[in-house]
Amino acid sequence: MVYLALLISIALVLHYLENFFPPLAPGAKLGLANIVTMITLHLFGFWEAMVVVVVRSILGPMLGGSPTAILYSMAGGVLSCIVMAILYFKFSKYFSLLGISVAGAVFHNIGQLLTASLLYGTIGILFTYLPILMLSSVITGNFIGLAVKYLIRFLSRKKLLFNFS
Amino acid sequence: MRIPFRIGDALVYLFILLLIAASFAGLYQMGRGVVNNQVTVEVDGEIWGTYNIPAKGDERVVRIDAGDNRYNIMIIADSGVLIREANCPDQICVNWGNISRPGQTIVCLPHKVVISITGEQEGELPLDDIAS
Repeated sequence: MVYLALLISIALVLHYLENFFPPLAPGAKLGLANIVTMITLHLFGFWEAMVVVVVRSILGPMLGGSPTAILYSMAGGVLSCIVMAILYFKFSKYFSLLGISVAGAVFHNIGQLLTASLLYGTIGILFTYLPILMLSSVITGNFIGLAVKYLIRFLSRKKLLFNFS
Repeated sequence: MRIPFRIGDALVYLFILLLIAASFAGLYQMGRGVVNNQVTVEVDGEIWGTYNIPAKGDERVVRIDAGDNRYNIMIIADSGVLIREANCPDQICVNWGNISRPGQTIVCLPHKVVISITGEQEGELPLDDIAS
């Protein structure tokens, strides 16, 4: 529980810090908080990662953002967490961490755009924004995947606090 | 350490390419058979105004008032629609650029403004036959 709380607060800080980076493209963000989601998947498991995602989605927009951001954040986060968990636990033979991270970024964007399309009642939003967000997902997904890869390597070498299962 | 690239990663990229293709196909499908293009502005889900596309060379400047001193300044020209200025925090709508095809939208989420190019459908959609 304590570790989960720590991870949530790290995710929140990253979520907040991200606002200060200029976006790669309109609406495209780095997805730093996704590092924490992946690390939680790796260290704890699916449900724990889900808790981190949901709590971060609710608290994140309260630090700076509109109430509707909760919906977007939640839809994107939950969808990408489910997809990453399936790839990580069932198909890790076939997918590298980078690939899983890119898939997570892709589904994060799909979730957000589907929510926006539903809210505004036009699927045109999805079609318009998807291509550019897919391209930015490739870049940010690889970046985040790389960060997670080195973080996991570091944690397993140091066996700092996480040498429990 | 893991091998950096695996066969599944190629699948992920293939999936991305498919999605991009599907989006363009979807946009094309939405714009097909559409005549009498108009620009529709919605604020907070309600239709705020509709505008005709002006004649070649003309342009029209519309100030969209989203309440609470929030505004977006929209330029409608025959080449398309764009937001020139807005006082939203993220400026996504301003950076989005020009839209010109039916079905395309500019969204300003902080102001709940959706600008879309709409039109009347020419003839019956084949989808209606399937649905009925």
